[in-house]
Amino acid sequence: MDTAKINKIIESYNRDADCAIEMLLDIQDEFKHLPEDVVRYIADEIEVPLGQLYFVGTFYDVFTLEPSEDELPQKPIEAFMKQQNDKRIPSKPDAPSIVFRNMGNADAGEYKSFEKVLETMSPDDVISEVEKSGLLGRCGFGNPTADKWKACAKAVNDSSNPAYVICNADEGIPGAFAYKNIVESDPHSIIEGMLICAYAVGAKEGIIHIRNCYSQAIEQMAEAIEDARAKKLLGENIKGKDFSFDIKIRRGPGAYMNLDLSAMLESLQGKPAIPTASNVPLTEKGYKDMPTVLSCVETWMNVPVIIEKGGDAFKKIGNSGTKVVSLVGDIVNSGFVEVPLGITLRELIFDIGGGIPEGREFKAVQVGGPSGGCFPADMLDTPLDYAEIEKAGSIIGPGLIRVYDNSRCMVEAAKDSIEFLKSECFGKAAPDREGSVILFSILENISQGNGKKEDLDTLKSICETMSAASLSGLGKSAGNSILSTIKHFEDDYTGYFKN
Amino acid sequence: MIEITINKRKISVEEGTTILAAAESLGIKIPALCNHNILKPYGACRMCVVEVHANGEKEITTSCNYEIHEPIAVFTDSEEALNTRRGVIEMHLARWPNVPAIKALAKANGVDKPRYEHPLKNESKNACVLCGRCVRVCSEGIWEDIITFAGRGAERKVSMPFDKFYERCAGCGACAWVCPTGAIQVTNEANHPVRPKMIRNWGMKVTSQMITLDDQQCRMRKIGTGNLVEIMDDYDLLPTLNYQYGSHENAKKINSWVWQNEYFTQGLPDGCWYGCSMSCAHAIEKFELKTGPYKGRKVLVDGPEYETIAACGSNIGNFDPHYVAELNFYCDTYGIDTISFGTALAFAMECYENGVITKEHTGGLELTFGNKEAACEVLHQMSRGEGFGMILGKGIRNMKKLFIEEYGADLDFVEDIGMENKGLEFSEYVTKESLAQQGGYCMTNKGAQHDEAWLIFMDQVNNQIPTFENKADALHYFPMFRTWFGLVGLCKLPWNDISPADNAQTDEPHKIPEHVEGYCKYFTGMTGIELDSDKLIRMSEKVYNFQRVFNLRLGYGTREHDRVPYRAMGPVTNTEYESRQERYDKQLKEKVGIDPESMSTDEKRLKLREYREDQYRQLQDAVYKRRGWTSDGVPKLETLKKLGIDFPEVVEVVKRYPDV
Ligand code: SF4
Ligand code: SF4
Ligand code: FES
Repeated sequence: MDTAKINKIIESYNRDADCAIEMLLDIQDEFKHLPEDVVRYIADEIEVPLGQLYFVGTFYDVFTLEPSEDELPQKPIEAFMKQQNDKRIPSKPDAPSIVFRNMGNADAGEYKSFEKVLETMSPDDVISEVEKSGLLGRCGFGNPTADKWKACAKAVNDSSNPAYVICNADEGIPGAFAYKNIVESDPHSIIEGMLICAYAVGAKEGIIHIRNCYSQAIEQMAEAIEDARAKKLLGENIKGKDFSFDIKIRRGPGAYMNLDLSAMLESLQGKPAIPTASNVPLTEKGYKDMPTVLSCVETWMNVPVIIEKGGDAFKKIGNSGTKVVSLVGDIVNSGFVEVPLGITLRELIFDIGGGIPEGREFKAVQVGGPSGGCFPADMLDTPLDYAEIEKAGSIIGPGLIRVYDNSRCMVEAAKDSIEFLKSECFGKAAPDREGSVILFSILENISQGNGKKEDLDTLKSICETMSAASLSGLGKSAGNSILSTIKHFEDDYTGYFKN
Repeated sequence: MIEITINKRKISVEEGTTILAAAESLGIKIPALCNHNILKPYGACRMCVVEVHANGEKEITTSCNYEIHEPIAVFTDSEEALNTRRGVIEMHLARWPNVPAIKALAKANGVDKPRYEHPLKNESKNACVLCGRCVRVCSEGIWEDIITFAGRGAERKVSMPFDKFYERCAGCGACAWVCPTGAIQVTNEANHPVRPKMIRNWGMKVTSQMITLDDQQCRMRKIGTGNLVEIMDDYDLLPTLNYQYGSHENAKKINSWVWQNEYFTQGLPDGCWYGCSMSCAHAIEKFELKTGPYKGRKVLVDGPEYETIAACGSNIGNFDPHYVAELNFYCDTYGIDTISFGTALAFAMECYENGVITKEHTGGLELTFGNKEAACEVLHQMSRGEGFGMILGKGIRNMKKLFIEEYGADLDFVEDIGMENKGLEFSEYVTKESLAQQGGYCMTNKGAQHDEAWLIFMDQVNNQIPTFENKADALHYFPMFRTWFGLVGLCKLPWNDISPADNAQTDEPHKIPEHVEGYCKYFTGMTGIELDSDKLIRMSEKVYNFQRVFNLRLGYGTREHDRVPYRAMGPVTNTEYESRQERYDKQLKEKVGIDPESMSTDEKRLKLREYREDQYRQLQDAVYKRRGWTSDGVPKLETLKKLGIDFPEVVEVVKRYPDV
C-alpha cells in the first residue's frame, strides 16, 4: 500500500472525518475500487469506525469493493435521463425568467440584492420579504421557505448555537440533473441567495454539496467563491459590517435522497445518506445537531430576485415564481425549461414541449419523477402548482415530467417507477424497503399474465401502508404511480387478467 | 411538563418524552420491534405507528421516536393506526414467516397469512429482521462500532466490515443479547464457563443500567471517577493543602466539567477492558507537555482519575488542570504512583511552609503549596535519582524519620501531619468527620487506602451506621467484600459506581444487594459452584485473616500499627480548628459535654483531640471484636479454626500474642 499517496489524500481534507466520503471518492478514482487495506488505513487515520466506511462503500453506486476496469454500470433510468435531459429548451417568448436570468450575462455576480440587504434591511425585514413572496422549496414537497428561515432564526436566538446554511446540489433524483446546468451557468446567485439567508438567520457557515461527477460545476463554483472572497463578499466582516459568512464546497457521491434532507446531512458527515428518524425539524437540530437551513440549488436562485423585486412583486410572477422542469419521454422537445408556476400541463406539454411525436396520441403524464402520479388527458388542465398537483395525487418534486403516448402500457410505467425506487430505497425502514420489493413483484406477476383482480386491492393497501408508515419521502410517495394508474388506467391492468 | 392524552387518558410528561414511553407509563402497550429501552429510538420497523392529533391536524406516525413538545392527543389503536400497523407486520411476516418474534406480533395484531408472496422470503427461524438493535448497541453502548449495516435497499444486511470477522470485536455479546430473533449467537465461550447464559444475562443487565442510568448517576462514561471532585468539595472532603481542609474556592477549576469539556476525549471504547460498557478510563489526547524530558511533545495522558486530581491538584494547592495532567503523565511514565507522590509532596510542602525543611534541604526548590513548576521538578529529580527528589521518593515514613532525626523537626507535629499508615501514603479523602473511614484507612492490612473500605458517605453524610457496633459491622463486611474482587480478579466499579434504578428501596442500599447477587452469579456461572453473599464474605474472611497473620509475621498487624495520624482525625493546628470552628465547638458542646464559650482555641483543640482519639480507641475495640481478633488486633485461635485456616505455621505466629 502506498501510504504516502493515501496520506496525501487524507491531508488534502485536513484529516476531517466529515470528509470521509470524499476521501473514498478519491480512492475509488485512484484504484478503481476501494481496497480493503486502504479503507482500514483511512479508518484508523481519521478515527472513524471501519464499519462506517464499509457501509458507505456498499451503499453508494459509485463505489466498488472489487477492482474493475469497466465503467460503472449505469441505471437504465439515469442513462435515459442523461440522454434526454441535458439540453435546455426554449420557454414561451414572454415567459418570466428567474433561475436562468443570468445565463450568459457577464454582469452576474454583482450581489446588488445582498448589498441592499446589508445596507438597508434588518434580518426580520428579509424574512418578511421572503414570506410575502410565497416562495416554496423548489425540489421537495414545496414547504414555505420563509418558515424554515423563521424557525432557524428563532432556534439561533434561543440557543445561540451556530447555524448552517446549506445548498443541496448532490441530489441524484432524476430531474435534478438540471441543477448541474444551473450551477454552471450562474454560481454567484446561489452564493448570493445563501448570503442573504445567512444574514437573516444569523449563520456564519455555508456548505454547497455538489455531486462529484459534476466536475465542471464544481470548478465554476469554486471560482465563484474565490471571486466573492476577493470582493470581500465572503469572509470576516463582510463589507466592513458586523457580519461574517463563508462557504465551502463539499463533494458528494450523489444519491437519490428524494429530498430527505436529514439523509443529506448524514452524507455531509461521512455516513451513508439515510434519514435519521426524528420529529424535531432540521431548522432546530440539523447539521451537527445545529440549526440548519437546507435548500436545493433552485430555491437559492430565487432569493436574490425576491429582494430585488420585493416579495409582493415576486408573488405576482406566475403562482409565486417559476419552476425548472424537465420534459422527457414521448415528447417532441425534450430537455429542461423554466416555466411560470401555474402554467397548465397542457400548455407545458403541447406549447412548450411541442406535443407527442410521430402522430401518436397523448396517453398520460407523470409529474414528479418515479415518485409521481400519472395523469390522463382529462387532467391536462391541471395547473403546475404545488397545492393543485398534490390534490391531484402527485408531487412536483424536482420537476421531472414524463410523457407517455398511447403505445405505452401504464402497468409497465408503474413497474419502471417502482423498480427504480426499489433500487434507490435507503433500506432502513421496513415499509419503504419491503414495500417496494413486494409492489414490484406483484406488478411483475401481473404483467406476466399471472395476476388476478384482487391484486389491485392488495396493491392499493400496500401503497396506503407505505404512505402512512414509511420513514422516507421516497417510501411515502412510492405508491403514487400505482394508485394513479389503477385509478385512471385500470383497463391496462385488467387487460392482463385472464378471466 | 406537558399534558397530553393517550386513548383519551390524561398524562403529564416531561418535554421530549417519546409517545412510546408515555404510553408505557400508562400501561398501554404499543408493538415495537426495533426499539429497545437501552437504545436510542431508531424508527426502522414502523410497527409502533399511532395516530397523533396536533394543532388540529392528524397524522399517522411512529411513536418510539416521536418526542412530545406540545399538547397532543394520541390514539394507539385507531382504525387507521391499526390498519397501518397490520400492513407493516404483514410485510415482515411475508419476508420472515417463521421468526417467533414476528409470528407473535402478527398473532397479537390479528394478521393472518400474508396476501402476497415475498420474493425474498427467508424461512429461517433465526432470520435477521434488520431491526438494527445489534448495530446500535455496539455503537451506543459499547462504543465499538464493530457490527454494521451494509448495502442499500433490499440488499441491506447486518455484517462486519468486508463481510468477515473483525478482529477488534470485543466479543462482549451485547449484540447477541439485544437481538430479538437469535440471528446473532455467541458460539465460542473463550473461558469455558459452566453456565455462560447466567454470566451473559447478568453482564448485560449491568450494561443496560450503564447505558441508561450512568448519565444521571456517576457519569463514569463521560468523565470516570473524576466526577467526585465537586462532590467531595461540596461535602468538605476534598483534601486540600495536605488534608488541612476539605474544600477550596478554586476547586471548580479542576472539577469534572473542566475535564469533560476541555480535556477528555469523549465517546471512545474503554481502554482498560475491551468491550466494557462503563468505559471509565479516560484520556487526554494531543496534550502538549511543558516540562521534563518530553517538553514540547504532544502526548496521550491516561487519566487523570479522581485520586490523581486531588493528589496532584488540590492537596498540593495546584488548581491548574494542565499541571495535574502533566504530573499524571510523568508519574505514569516514570512508574510512580500519583497518590503516593501527591500525598508525600503535600507533606513536604507543609513542612517547608512551617520551616521544618528549608531551601537548604530542598536544594533551592521553593516548595510552597501551589508551586506547580517545583512539583514537576521534584518529580523529574525523583526519576533521575537526584536532589530532594531522592528524599521525597522514599515516602512519608522515611521523610518523617529523616526530618526528626537529622533536621531536628518537632516529632509531634511531623507525626501528626505525615499522612501515612503502615508506610503507605493516604489516598484522597478527608476523614476528619468520619470515624468509620478513619478505621477504613487504618485498621487495614495494606495501609491507608480506600480499596478495603470506603464508608464516608454511609457514615458521615447519610448517617447509616451511627453506633460503634454498626461501624464495626461495616468495617467487617466491606473490607471482606472488597477483598473478594481481588480474589476473583473482577473490577469493583460496576458494583457501586452504577446502581439499579430501585436500589434506594432495598433493605441495605449501601451494599447494593442486587449487584452483590450479580457478582455471585458471575462466580457461579463461571465455576458452577453456588455462591451467596454469606459464602462470598466467608471466602474473603479466610484470606483477610491470613493477610493479617502475614503482617504479624513481618512485625506489623497489631493495634499500634493501626494508628491514625491525627490530621486524619481532627484539626492539628489552631488555624485548622478556627476554619471550622462552629462545627468543632458544636461537637464539644453536644458530644463531649463541655462549654467551649470561654475556652481558648488551644484548649478546645486539645479537648477535641482527647475525645476523638478516645472514640477511635473504642472503635478499634468494637472492630477487633467483630472481626474475631484480640483487643490487640490479633486473630483469635477460634477465629482461625472457624475459618479453617488454623494451619500449624499460622497458629504458631498468633500464639505469641496474649489472649488469643
Ligand atoms: S460482540 Fe460486542 S463488540 Fe462485538 S459486535 Fe457484538 S456488540 Fe460489538
Ligand atoms: S441481527 Fe438481530 S439485532 Fe441485528 S438487525 Fe438482525 S434481527 Fe436485529
Ligand atoms: S419501534 Fe418504532 S419504528 Fe420500530
